[in-house]
Amino acid sequence: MSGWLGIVVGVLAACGTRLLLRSTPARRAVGIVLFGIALNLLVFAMTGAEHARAPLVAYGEEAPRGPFADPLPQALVLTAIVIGFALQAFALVLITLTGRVDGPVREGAEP
Amino acid sequence: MILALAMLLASAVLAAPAVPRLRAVSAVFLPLPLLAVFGMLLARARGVLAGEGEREVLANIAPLSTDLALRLDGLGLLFALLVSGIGAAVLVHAAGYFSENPSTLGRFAALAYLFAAAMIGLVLADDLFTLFICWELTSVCSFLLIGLKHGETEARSGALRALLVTGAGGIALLVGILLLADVAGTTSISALVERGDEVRTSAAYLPILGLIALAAFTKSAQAPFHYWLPGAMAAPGPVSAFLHSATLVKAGVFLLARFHPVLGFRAEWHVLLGHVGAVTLLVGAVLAFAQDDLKRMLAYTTVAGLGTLVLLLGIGTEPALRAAMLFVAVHALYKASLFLVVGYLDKRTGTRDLTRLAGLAVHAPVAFAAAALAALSMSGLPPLLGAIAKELVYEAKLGAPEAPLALAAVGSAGNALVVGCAVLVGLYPFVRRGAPPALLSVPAVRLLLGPLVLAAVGLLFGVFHDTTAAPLIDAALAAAVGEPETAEFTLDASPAVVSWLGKATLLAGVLAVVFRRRLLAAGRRVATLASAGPTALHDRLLEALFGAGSAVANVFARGGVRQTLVWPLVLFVGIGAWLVVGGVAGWSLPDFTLDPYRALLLLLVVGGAAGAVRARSNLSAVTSLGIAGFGVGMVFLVLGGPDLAMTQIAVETLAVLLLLAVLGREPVEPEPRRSRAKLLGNALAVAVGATFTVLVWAAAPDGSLPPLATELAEKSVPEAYGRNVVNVILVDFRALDTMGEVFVLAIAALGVTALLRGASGEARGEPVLGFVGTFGRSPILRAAARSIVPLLALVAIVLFVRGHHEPGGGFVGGLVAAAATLLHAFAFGIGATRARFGPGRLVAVGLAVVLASGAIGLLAGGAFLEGTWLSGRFPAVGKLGTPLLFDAGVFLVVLGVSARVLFGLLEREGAPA
Amino acid sequence: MSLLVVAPVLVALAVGTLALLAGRHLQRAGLVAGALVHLAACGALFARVFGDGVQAYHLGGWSAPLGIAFAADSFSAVLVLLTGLIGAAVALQAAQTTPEEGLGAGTPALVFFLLAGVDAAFLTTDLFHLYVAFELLLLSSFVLLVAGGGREARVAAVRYLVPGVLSSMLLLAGVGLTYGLTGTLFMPEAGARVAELGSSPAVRAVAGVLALAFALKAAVFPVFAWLPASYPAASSAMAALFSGLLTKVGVYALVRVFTLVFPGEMSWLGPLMLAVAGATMVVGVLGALAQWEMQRLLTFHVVSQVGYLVVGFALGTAAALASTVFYVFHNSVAKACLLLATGVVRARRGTDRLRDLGGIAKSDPLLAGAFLVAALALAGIPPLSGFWAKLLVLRAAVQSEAWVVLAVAAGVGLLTLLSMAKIWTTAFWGNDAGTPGTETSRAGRAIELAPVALLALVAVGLGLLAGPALEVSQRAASELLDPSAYVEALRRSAP
Repeated sequence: MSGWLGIVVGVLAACGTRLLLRSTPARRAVGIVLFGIALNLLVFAMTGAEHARAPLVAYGEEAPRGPFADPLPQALVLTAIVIGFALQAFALVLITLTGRVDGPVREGAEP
Repeated sequence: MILALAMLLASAVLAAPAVPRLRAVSAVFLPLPLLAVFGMLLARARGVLAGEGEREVLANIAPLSTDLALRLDGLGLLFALLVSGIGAAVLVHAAGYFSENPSTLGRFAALAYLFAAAMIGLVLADDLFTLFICWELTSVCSFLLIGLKHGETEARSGALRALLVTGAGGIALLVGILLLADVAGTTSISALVERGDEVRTSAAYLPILGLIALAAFTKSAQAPFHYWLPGAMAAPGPVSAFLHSATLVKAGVFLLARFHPVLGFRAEWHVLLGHVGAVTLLVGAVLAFAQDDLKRMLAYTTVAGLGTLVLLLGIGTEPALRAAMLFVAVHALYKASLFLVVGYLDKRTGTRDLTRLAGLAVHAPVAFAAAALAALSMSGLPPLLGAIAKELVYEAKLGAPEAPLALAAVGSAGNALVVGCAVLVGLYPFVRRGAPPALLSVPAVRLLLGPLVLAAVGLLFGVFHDTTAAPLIDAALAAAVGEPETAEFTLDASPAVVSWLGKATLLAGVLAVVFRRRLLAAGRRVATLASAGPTALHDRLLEALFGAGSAVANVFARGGVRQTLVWPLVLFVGIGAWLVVGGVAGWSLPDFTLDPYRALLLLLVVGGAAGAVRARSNLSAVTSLGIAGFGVGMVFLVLGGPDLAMTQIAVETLAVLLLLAVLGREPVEPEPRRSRAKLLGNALAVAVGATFTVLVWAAAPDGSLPPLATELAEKSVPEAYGRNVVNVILVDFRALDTMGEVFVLAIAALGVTALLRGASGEARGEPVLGFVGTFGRSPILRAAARSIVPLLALVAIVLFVRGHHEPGGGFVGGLVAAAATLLHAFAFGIGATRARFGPGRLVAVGLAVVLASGAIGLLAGGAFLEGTWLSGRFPAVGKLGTPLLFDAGVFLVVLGVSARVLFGLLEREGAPA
Repeated sequence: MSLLVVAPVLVALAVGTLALLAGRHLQRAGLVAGALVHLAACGALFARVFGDGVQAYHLGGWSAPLGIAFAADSFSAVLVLLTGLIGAAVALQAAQTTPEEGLGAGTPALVFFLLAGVDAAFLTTDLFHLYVAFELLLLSSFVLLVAGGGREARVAAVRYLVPGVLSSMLLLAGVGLTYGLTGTLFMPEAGARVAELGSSPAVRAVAGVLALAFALKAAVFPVFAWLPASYPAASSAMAALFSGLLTKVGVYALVRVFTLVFPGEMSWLGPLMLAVAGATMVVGVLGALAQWEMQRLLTFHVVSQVGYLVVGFALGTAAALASTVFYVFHNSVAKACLLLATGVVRARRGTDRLRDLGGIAKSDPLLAGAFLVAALALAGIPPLSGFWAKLLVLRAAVQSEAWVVLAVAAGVGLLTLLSMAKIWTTAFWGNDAGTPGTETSRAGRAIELAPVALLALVAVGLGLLAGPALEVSQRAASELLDPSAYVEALRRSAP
């Protein structure tokens, strides 16, 4: 499945980039979130994602049975999602409150 | 000698506060440190003249395999005596010059001591780094001293110009000595001197010569770098007398003399120094003669004198070097004396203009005496020391291996003009018939003691040459000559010719004075070019630099965010391209298995993304985004990540809510169609996406679990007492990551609150959540809420508690709890919710709980965040331990953060309080 | 295991949390007190590493790679000490200059969280945790930029935030991809795996992504534009904090990751970075020359000076890495000192525009003296710290026969001197041109100056005590080139 996941990551990233490059704050905000989703999916794809079983140990046992998904990328993605959300929350509020910011930086280069 | 330097430094520190208190008595105290140094030097002179010089190590810098060291040899002794002796004279004069300005005197004294220490350190340095350190320090002192009266524009610009020119030389020197050290394998100058042949024959010889010569030329105001010296005349008189006549400007000459054993004896040395010196001599002499301001005239004659010195060093024969050494001393003595006299005249009459000064012999006899002696030395009249110097100089020129006649001719011409200047400065103002300008009263003794002494020394040493000056010069010469393997061929110059030349120069000089006006009219254009030319070039260069800077700043500061994104994205695409180009062969094909259900989910995700891009209104964009996010959550679920799926969906919901709240329902501004920027942006976006895809394919593992994952799963139950491996990783194995995560959450909450509070005045679109106002407090909602809220709270707690063994955990639990509080707020108002649940400090409390859970591990004797468990099992929970406490902290933080952010937004939207 | 290794981070987090819990009136005093405690912790760690060699700590009682471990070699210890020092100086000024809205927004807590993130980045051995640390310091800096500021600060924050988010995404990508390649996040182990894999295109690409992410955070050419677009709008104390620490973490990460995990990639990355360094030095200093406001000028300098740091990284020899270690410390101290001094100028004169200033040397000689010291240090005048730093860089270039870089570094040094002289002759010399800002008592003025004086003294001390400092730098460089002591310390302290 990693082949298809790779393609989806690419599409998400492309869409996110396209939105980021627009200068409307609204578009940028959406772009940031989309880009974040793409990244999370990328890290998740670093499992050998064949194994659809969740890494849970059944009651009374000592280890998960049979082939299971790699728990580490899941934990990483979970952390990344939350951190990403924190970043996004701040970014969204900042970007939309500030409005359009493109255009020349105020003159500091002139005496 | 280290003691001497330390004493000077201490004096520098004490001077500024102490001098204003001493007032009139300062004239007695000020020269003392320098006189003491002079005395110390004399005490060691005998040993030095006999050829023994001790090495004193200041510090050992092992990592650079170097010692910072000093060594007193003949060359150093000569220069050091000059610095300390002339310095003492100048300080006495300064006490008079600044008599009305004690604080300025204090500053002058402090900087003068510092400078003297640096200068003496420079000439005594026995290793390259000490040399350089002192070199740069003299430049800095010069800068600060020129700007002593920095209220005046000319002082500031003069100082800046000096700093830049000498600074450039300094950098060149640094690179030069690094190359030198690399080639010779040592930084000790005494050792370096013995390895001269190695340096001369190495490939790096030319760069080293060029760099060190550049340093010397900039410091010693050789053409074309001579232009900073006249500008430095904006400094007060004593500064010019001390630094810019006798000491600082000689540093370049010193450098060349010091390195002569290492870098000399090669054609390039002769040619470079010879030409530059000759040109400088001529330029300086001509420009000097054209001046009306006495101080500037002296400055330019100094340039000429320095040119002569460089020329002599360029000739490089023993007689030439001897002449140079003597001339260093002679020049320093008479020049300093003349500068000081001019300073006196300036104070006495208020002017330094040649055309206005006349008939002062009667009113200032002492000054006249000093000036006359100095001027006669400058002109080379016996029995003054200057005469001996002049003889030696001519002897050397005539005895040069190459082009002796040309050198003699140039030298004579220049000297003639210099003689003329000597007459103009030293005799004219006193002897010329006319009325002097209005005379002021000045502290004559202080002002004139110095110059008188210096000029008298010139006389004494001239008369008693063999016993006083000669041994010193010989010792200096020994240091400067070095021991090459090839002996230099010297022509003997006939004494008769030398004597004839000397007389001819004198005559020419006097004639020049007589016909001065006519000569000046003829040469005025040349003179302005030579003086203004380089300065203009310097200024234009600076302008070009500033212009380049503006251009750079505009290119990179213009444009906004988009520009800062494009560069990294382009580079990123570059990496992808490189990957594809480099390694398409030898790739294993990525796995493309798919079943219909998963295919549908992936399509959902892609569709949502596409929809977000093409959306026309904010609402549709956000909705599409939500679809994409939920789709990804489902993908996570299907591929074995239940916790992950829950978190993704929960966070996605929050993100969508947040976006709706801040974006409102306003339509998107229409983008310009089909602009080139838009096409490029699309292309870039596609390329970025492709790069990501290619990277995923290249790096994704091939289906088998890495050993780390297996180990984590196997240890989860027996050692960490949890059946939900992912949760165990989050709150136990890698709890530190989660700790960072909750702090990041808290910071975001702080930020959002700060932003919302700060921007409360600005209105934004139509609040989407405005329905809160209408809905709120509806009795139906309240009734429902009364049962639903506690239910939700219970779900939250259950989720949290079971998280260690089944999907769930602190984060999701906290989010559900936040949902409960949100519902409560809708129904009963924010104020009531706050009163009941008080999220005021909830975030901070949560953070504290997290930290505390880690600390418990420490207190129990383990590591921070080590899982510490109560013995025995509990119903429904299993084992109780710090990871659960940790998760509780996470719960609290998430609840607090969500509540803060949501409530902040609601309040802005006009929700009922 | 030495608890000192995690002490700086824990102290910073704990103090920050306390700041959130404490009342308004304790904020200013708490900021200073907490920063001093933090400095003490950092100093203790440095002393321990200096005396006993590399120290390590495995958190949670799990040995890495099961858990996360911190390790402090000489390089990390030096940087942590620097963090404590800059934190203390900035705290001293921020406690005086932060407006009430800033306090209400939680500035003190944020400062400590930022310090915690920086410390963690310098000490962690886990790639993902490095990402978390970066996020912690990044988000703190975002909020610090806007806290208590007006619209201008928010605009600057957007210019800072969007590329910052991109850099974080790239870092996350790089970390994730590395996990995919190597199956581990523990840097020493990842390095071993990478060595086994050899230099395949995939390895090169992943290394490239990480290098790009760090380069973006370090603000090198051509991805530096975000820095001069945002830092000038920060308060001087925050500008000092950011300039002193944030870009340095990017450089540190480059060095650490490319000596520990991807050393083989230096064969192509080195020359590339050398060119980047040269361009950065030149573009930065040229931009600085054109500025007429002190803070703006100094922030362009931040870019230029990062170039010097990257030179050492790019050349990769022991001498070169030693130059980077020494230069980082010197540069942060001098730069922070200059920015804090600018803060004092703003407070006393109301502006930092050069045209509107003049005669500060007459009215505030102490301030002028401290500024002069720091400016000369930055310009590389002996015997201050900057001289030794520049010497080391130039010497490394000579030894590696990198003649172009040698010439560029020397030339840029001269231009740096020119720009410092520009500030000095227009703002400090001359006659009093501006209107005074606020009137403060003598004691007040002394306290205002304290952070500036403190850092200036450090610059002087570093110059005079160059011998021991150079030895530490050399030791750090040899530890970086041969990480066996690092790995061994981690293995030894594993539970």
